[in-house]
Amino acid sequence: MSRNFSYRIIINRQSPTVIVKEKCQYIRRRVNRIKNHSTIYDYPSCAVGCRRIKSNELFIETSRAHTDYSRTPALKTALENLGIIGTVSYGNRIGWCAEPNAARSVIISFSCGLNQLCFTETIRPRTLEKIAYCKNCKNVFKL
Amino acid sequence: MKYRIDYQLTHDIDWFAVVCGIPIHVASNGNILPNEVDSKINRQIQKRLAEIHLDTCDVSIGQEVTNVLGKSGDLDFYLETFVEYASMGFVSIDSHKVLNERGSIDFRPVIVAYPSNRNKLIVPEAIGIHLPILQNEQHKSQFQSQLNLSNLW
Ligand SMILES: [Zn+2]
Repeated sequence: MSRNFSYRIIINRQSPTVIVKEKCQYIRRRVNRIKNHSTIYDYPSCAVGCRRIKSNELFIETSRAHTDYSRTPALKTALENLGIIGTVSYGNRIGWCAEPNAARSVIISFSCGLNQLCFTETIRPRTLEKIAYCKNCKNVFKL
Repeated sequence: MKYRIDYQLTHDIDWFAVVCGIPIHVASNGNILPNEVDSKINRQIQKRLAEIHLDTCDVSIGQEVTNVLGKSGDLDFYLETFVEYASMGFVSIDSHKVLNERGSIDFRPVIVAYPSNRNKLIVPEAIGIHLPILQNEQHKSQFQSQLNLSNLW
């Protein structure tokens, strides 16, 4: 079983990537807490932070399937330019990465465009290692 | 019951099996799980391993770990979950993502940690739940020949 880990955090002086890593450590502890009858057994594959340029509000999301992008039409269109959402493109399912999930939260909150987003490094919660952006995300967000 | 495909692709699942007589733990890292892995049984194993107190053993680190991790990662964080399962007696394996020439991702199994002494491999009866045995020839050859499992010691 899993739970959706979503965060909206005001950043001060810390690096946004460091904040994502801190949240990943929290996720690690939750997963390990099977020991105390937690119902979370599995790590999400990846986590990323996204914010509107110059904003200090960071939105952190993990990889997740079946997100509804109908409230963010520009993002939906950009994803659909790669193919049907949920189908495979370059080995990843379109729209299931952490990046579009985090972008969606930012766009809904700030009504901003795709070119106003900036991302932290993408982190694998199990190991806290940095994961390269996939080709789909590079395409959609010009990373 | 199988893990839903969307769940497999978005999660980094700890799964357990026996291949060529050797008990393995694998971190899926978003890769598809073998057919033999049943979600209900796998969760029972995860819980059981968290609950029971197994004697822990000395662990060796796989030769490829430093290549795989590169410069970006912190080795202690990286090793933590793998060492935990290796010390219980599993050969602990990560699914390493490799970008192929088509620009998409292939997964390559990499041994991260394993019991230093072959005699310390977990006896499946110690868990009290049957570990699935990987029968599929493709998986068997992947884990056996690529990882050279039986030549670890
Ligand atoms: Zn992506």
